[in-house]
Amino acid sequence: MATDGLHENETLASLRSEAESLKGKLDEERAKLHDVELHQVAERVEALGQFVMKTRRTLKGHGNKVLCMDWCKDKRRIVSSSQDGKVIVWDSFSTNKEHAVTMPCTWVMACAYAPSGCAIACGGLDNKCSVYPLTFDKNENMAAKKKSVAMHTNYLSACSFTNSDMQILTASGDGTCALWDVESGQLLQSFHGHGADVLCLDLAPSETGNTFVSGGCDKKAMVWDMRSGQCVQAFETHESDINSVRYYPSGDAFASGSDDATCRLYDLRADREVAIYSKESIIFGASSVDFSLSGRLLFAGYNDYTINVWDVLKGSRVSILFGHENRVSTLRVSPDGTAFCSGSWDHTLRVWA
Amino acid sequence: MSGSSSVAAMRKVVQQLRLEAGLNRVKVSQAAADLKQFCLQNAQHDPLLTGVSSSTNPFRPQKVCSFL
Repeated sequence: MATDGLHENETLASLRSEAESLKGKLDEERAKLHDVELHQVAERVEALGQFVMKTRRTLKGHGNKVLCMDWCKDKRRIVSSSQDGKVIVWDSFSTNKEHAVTMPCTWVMACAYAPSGCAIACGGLDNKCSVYPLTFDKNENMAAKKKSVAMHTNYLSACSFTNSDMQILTASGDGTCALWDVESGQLLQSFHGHGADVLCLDLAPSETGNTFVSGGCDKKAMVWDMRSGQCVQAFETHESDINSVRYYPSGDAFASGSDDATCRLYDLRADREVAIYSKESIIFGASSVDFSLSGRLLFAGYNDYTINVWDVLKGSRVSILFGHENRVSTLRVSPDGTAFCSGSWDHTLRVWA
Repeated sequence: MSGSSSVAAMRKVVQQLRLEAGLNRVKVSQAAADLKQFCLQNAQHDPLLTGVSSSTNPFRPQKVCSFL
């Protein structure tokens, strides 16, 4: 028995040293390929002109902080969720509310539109992700058709349908991500690796294959293979929680927004961080990020109530947008890139163009 | 003294690192050039970048016609 204990300790020590040497090797490999900075490569690219982006619509109706929003593929409908437990579907052109449902919990931190436009998913402090079919029958009670799909052991922080209405990917305060079958509620795959709450996720553009990226309170961004459940790449350069991750439109990179007041760009093929978007004057956390269609612009919402627009290639800020009267908590560019929507703790959503 | 569980955990860490060490990486100059290329190629089709005119952007105010 004594020899078993000794054997285990030796194995632990040798594993630890192997881990250290592998980490050192990884850093060395990544450093070797770091031959230039992104903004240097972009030196000759024409600078962007002045941007005139204004609030074109204000969506009012939530009774408390807006926590999350998502666009419908039809480029006009928006689903949003709030601290007061309400989930609302809006027509952003007319600002009319088309559907509203009250969740049994407060802090509905995640919501998503199904690709078909016929359902929405949401969840939060109830530790679940539920799917609600959208019906235009005035007599139908939306809450009655609710389907519980995902069950976590802590709050739901993010959810997204995959390419179809049939599967949902979730991220949770329990430190895991999971893939679920909507119809049966069955767990198809779980993703373990984060050392703390997972706060956000984003699916790779469909052409890039079956991967997604997640960000968490462990300051790590991790890229996962959806089929195997394996983490294929991990990045740990942020100095605080990662609140938002979003793929670059080509699928070769992703951006992150963090409580450390910076946004960063990680290239998947170079396997490293390639740009930091920060300014000394920006001291509040970035809560949400998204790219414009070409990937040239990065829109980021901050806890200081502003939205900063960054030139992704040159690393400079091209515009700062004021309007919200409290933290910006969520931000998404519309599917056809003509506008972006931001949600805030000031209870409103704004559509900018 | 849960020796075996920390060994198991450490094994997973090492396995993960071995996997990541085996990745094929590209130079930043190459990766950056591709990112730049993608941006430039798609720039014209990016409404928020080019500032699409009122007539085609459903969110921008329409110019009002008045009948004389």
